Amino acid sequence: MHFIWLSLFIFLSPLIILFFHSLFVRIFHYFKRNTPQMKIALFSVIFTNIPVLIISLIILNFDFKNIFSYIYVLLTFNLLGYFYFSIFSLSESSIRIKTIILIMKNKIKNINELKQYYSKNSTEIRLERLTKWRQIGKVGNDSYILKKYFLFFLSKIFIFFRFLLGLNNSINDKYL
Amino acid sequence: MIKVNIILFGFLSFFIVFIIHLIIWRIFRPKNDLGLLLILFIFIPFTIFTLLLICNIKNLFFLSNPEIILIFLFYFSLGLVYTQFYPGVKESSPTLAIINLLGRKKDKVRIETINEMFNSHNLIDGRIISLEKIRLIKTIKIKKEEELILTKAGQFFAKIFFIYRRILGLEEGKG
Repeated sequence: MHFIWLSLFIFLSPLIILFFHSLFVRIFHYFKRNTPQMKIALFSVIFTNIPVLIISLIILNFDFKNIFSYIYVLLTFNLLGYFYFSIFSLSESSIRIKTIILIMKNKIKNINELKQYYSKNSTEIRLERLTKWRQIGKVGNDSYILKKYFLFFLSKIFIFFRFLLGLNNSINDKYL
Repeated sequence: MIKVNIILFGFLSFFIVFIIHLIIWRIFRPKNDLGLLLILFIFIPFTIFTLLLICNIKNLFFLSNPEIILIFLFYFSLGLVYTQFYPGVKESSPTLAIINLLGRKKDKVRIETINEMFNSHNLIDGRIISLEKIRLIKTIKIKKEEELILTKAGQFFAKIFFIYRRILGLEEGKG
């Protein structure tokens, strides 16, 4: 019977992340830390592993005989955690989500207004964000250089999957 | 007791669906690919696992029903991750495009080069088309001018993200 409770608990675990995430956002804001929101979200997901593991131990009656139960819990929870993080990054940096919110708020009416909005902001926002994350660095006033290679490696994975699925895309084909 | 085969069956189920997805996408790329992706990775497997649970009430299979639920939950988590990963593969992430450009050049890159690569027009057009394809927005003509409006599904998603950011105590994202 405890497997049913365990499944239900893991299924609902993103709500625990949401709780800790909203708590950490407020704590960081209170202490006026200029930490990027993505970092706070990632930290919340990693931190929530602790309460999840503790609650799983309680549900499984502190049974340490089978380590796979805990491997299963942590693996599944972190997959859902990645999903949560992706949803948060959508709300933070997705052009699509920003577009539907801009339409909802009547801030843009047509595609030209949207293009105007992004021609001012798009590149600057991304360069600023990447510099803040210390993934890239500014050289002089008008040049940038790659500092960390994790995202570069990630972009290669995306290219591999596009090749696998036979997809093509104008920007990717030219530049990725 | 959770055995290692639960994790293995979860991976195997995902791998089978992924191969089917690969074959379908190689033969023809569906118009509403995000919709089909959800059907393929979430709704069809959910139906199959539910049927398996119903058929296995008397424990006829070599797996018990709680084990089937655990396998589905693991599979479901993998499926959700992939459905989040796919849009980034399909349409270039602007952030990764910048990173890739800087990584390949191995030297400093001027902002003009980045802007040139990345004019907002091809970015925006692709996203508007995909929002229309998944029926979150539509274009209507008002006084000979085209206007973008949200569909009911679009209004729903916009509100969900708006409320989500409010729960977190954050302003809307910068996009």
